Amino acid sequence: MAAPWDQTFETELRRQLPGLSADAELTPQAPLAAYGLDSLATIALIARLEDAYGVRLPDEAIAPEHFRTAATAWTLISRLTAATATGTATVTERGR
Amino acid sequence: MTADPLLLDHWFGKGLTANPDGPALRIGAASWTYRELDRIASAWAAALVEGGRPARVGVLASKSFEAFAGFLAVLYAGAAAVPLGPETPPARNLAVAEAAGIGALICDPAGAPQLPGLLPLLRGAGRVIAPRVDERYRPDNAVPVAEQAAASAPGPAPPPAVVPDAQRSPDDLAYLLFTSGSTGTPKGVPISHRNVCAFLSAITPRYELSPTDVFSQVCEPTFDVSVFETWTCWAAGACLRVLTRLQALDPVRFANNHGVTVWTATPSLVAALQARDLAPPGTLPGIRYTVLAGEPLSVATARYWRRAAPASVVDNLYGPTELTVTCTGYRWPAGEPARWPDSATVPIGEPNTGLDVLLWGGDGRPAEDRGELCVCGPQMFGGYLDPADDHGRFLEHGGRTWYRTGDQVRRDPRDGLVHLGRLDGQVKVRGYRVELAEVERALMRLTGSPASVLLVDRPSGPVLVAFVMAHRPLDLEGARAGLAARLPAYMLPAQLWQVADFPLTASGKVDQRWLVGEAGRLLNSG
Repeated sequence: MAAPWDQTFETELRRQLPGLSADAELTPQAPLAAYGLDSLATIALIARLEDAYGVRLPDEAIAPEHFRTAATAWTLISRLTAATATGTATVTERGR
Repeated sequence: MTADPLLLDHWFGKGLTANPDGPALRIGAASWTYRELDRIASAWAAALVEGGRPARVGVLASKSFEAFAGFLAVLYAGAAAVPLGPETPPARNLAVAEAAGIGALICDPAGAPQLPGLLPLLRGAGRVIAPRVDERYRPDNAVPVAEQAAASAPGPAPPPAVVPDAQRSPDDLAYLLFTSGSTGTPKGVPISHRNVCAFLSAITPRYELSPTDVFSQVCEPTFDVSVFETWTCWAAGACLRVLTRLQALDPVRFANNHGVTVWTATPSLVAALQARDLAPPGTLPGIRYTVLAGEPLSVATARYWRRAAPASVVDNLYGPTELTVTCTGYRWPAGEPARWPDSATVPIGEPNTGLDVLLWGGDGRPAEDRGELCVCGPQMFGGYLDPADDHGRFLEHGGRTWYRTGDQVRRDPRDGLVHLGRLDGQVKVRGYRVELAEVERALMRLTGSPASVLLVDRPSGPVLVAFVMAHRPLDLEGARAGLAARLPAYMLPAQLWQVADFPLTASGKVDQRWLVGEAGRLLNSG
């Protein structure tokens, strides 16, 4: 079965998973922390995904629960890209 | 000029007077003004004292609204706050709550699963304030307090003090924190209003603050750097912006988005940013002050931060919980002190106003330029909750009592005090104190075998690892689970290895150098 995400996502996610060997499959439900996604890697991943997809994550999306598995992270990214494509406002909290 | 307050909550009163309708606290998209926070805390305090004023109140909360309003409410009630971590294992929270003798509890949703287990400990009226806690966990007799928004309506006059000042004393306890103890049980550190007010009187003149400032708030309430973040902010009428640990690792986004002007962090957090270059030069232009505390700060890390936040003053503050948050400070000079190599440690500088320091030499006499740092003055606590823990921690000299920090320092004529290391097995993990002996004892109890725990440096920061010595097969997974059920997360070894033997040094001690080398080898091969 093909992965539910695109190649960009797969590449960027794998880049932050030192514990996942290149020939091993990245499954939707596997806990990313087990492959070495710590909080710093999460921040780096967010920055790269934002660049790759041209989206900006709202503050509340920058939370560990969105990066627990490949599936949760992809759900977040695809929701944001869809919202950007249809012009739906993705509310980004702005400082004063 | 009016004298500084002698009760901790009166420092909040300064902010309330200076900026009543400005934001005191922001968490996520929610925000509370000084007036709102004052009203809610007053209402909660009134609920706490109904049926008898409790001496100590547990605040089982992460960095939530309940944690901040709760702490303030406990002080308004003339009681002492006992922060309890929702992520701390229940057995440890129970031991802490029992030792502290809590008479009431304030709880947030994160703490809810642990609430039922703590209820049997409550003494007296046993009030519980848990407005957002699910019914499953909330006891039937929980106080029906007004929820956040309901109490926020503007009114004419501030409510009268819940407990009149005349019934309170600066010698009353303000809070009780627990630190890792080498005997295997956490040590209770009671801090009085006098202690913490002396700290604030000494620390606030270091910073020129106004209600337009925004403080980051990153440390958990169980870690006393949070006392600095919260109360220096409120004393100025400034805004306390709570950040999760993940958000704190992205200051370029969050400090800039939220207009943070005062950034507080542990050196290990900045070192982590440095390891991945997450704060490139000039990316944090709005930060005016950076306060680093909780661990030794390397020159390389301080330089990295200075480049990221070029407009910021950088302070390195030092102090054990027993001396109330921080007791010495060093301000990074404006010009780059090129004479320091990157590998050096930033000095801890001069003692706070009002404190005296003494270097105690190995020969049992005061030393001129090198020795154990001993401190005396109004920030010094009055002794551990369990007097048995006082043994060996105090020094009588020159007719005064001094607290022995256990830190070896030298006095530099130009830079003040310089931290050299610990005299015992205490290490710092993400700013938290960890007694290696406490982890070793827990491991030995679980496995029935000798254990050695050590801190090893990794590119992403120091990590705890442990060796257990046994010839027979050991249930390491079971031991790992057992540790997690007993110790807070920062005390858990990242790796647990079994070895057949500990090589010994010529003097018959476990060869620490061999262990460090072996740990490095195993980590690299993993």
